[in-house]
Amino acid sequence: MMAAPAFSLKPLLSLLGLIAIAHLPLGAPANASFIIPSIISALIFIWSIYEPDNVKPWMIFTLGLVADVISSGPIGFWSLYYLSVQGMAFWFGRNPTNTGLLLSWIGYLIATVVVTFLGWVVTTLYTMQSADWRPMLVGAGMVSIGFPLIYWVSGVARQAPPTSSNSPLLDEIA
Amino acid sequence: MRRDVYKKHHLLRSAPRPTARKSLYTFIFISLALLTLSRINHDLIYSFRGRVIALAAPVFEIVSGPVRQLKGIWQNAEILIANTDELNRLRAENQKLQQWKWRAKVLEDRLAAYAKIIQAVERPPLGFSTGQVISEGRGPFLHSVLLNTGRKDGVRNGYPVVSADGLVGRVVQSGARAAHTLLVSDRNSRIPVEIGNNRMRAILTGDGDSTPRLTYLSKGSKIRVGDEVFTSGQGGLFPRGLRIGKVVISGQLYRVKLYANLGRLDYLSVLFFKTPGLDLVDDKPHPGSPSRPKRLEQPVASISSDKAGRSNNTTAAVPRVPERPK
Repeated sequence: MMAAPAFSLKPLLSLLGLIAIAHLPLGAPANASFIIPSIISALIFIWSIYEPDNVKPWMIFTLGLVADVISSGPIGFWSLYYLSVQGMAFWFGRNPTNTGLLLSWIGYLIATVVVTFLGWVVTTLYTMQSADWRPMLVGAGMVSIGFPLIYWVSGVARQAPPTSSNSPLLDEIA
Repeated sequence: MRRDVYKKHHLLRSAPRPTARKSLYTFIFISLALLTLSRINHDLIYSFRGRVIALAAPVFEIVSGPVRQLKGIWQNAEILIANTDELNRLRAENQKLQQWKWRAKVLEDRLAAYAKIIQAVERPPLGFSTGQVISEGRGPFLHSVLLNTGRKDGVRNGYPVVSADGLVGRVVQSGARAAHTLLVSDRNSRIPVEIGNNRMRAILTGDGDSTPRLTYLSKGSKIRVGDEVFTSGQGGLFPRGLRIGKVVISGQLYRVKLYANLGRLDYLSVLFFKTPGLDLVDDKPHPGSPSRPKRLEQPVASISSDKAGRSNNTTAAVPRVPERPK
């Protein structure tokens, strides 16, 4: 008999931890301010493809709200940004063969181009003046280059030994 | 065998459920609605933010402790690496400062004598509260920092915030124990300033760059690179004469290289500069909205500090430009 997969807090905790780190006074230069948020979006993308049941949209929404409040920015921006990333991941993950590093990387590149542009448009509309695109581009560019590393690190977390409670496959083998 | 199981398990990922997609659209819609409410500065958003900041500030204070220590170690390491050059530079600077100290003392005595002769009214000393940066706002909208000093220490919305080097920004939202400071580099920051010995007036406009722009310069303004920029006091939100930076030219624009390093802010002081203009930015308690900021009910001077890293004084060592006769 197949047991219901247990809910994992790993994605939620990793994303929450990164949001906290993103707002610590690290003293990063202005153009680097989008790097950690871009890492968060890459992680959301990966988790949403491989473990969509563990990253529900309400979680991403809440995480975005936390980021909005801490950054003192407009409420709803980061929620919208991260939910858009998740939407792209869901769109990409519809095909079960879209897996592995290369395809995920291509998927993330498409997602990051779309979402970064969307973020710039929303910022421009909100402030009614052309938003500074440099930090966004630097963040998206650097994380796109470093995507394999993020994929590998998240893979280590994802491939933690499955137990019979969270692995339908082990149940089947048993 | 076990490794193969992991691999197979890894590949057999589940596709997102249709319900997840539906809720995704719902939350995207809610986010857009919140963004709109935020744009019109709705009360709901204001009180929500205040509550979350009050909850998050103690957590950030704890978490940022080790980060600050690591930063300190890193900075010390940098100093050690550049030890010799730094020492020589500091020695030379110290010699110059000794001369300036003597000149300042002479000028101070002379100024005191003149003030006595003309019976000048002395500027009242400013109270202040010093706090540490516990969080930095990152994103396309705001350049801000969260300080671990708030209304309980006498801080109010609109108060100017300075570092040892110069003006850093102003408080935009203050909770009981934390205050959000909008930095001068932020797009929403507009500060009336005076430039150089000619006292040319302009507005220091943040545009997200680390060197804010000088706008609304009057025609025929004679500004030179290296001219000092300081607050003019116009508008009543900032006291006159707070040091900000020096004029630089970038492309066709006059910009200001700030004295304060906004990338490395640590201890900042909130100046208790009370003016009638403050009421415009520090709202009265809103009926039916308990989280609206409450007014300070006791005099600032009587509030004492109870935490390390926070202090209250009645006179601030404000980085000011000395007054010059017009």
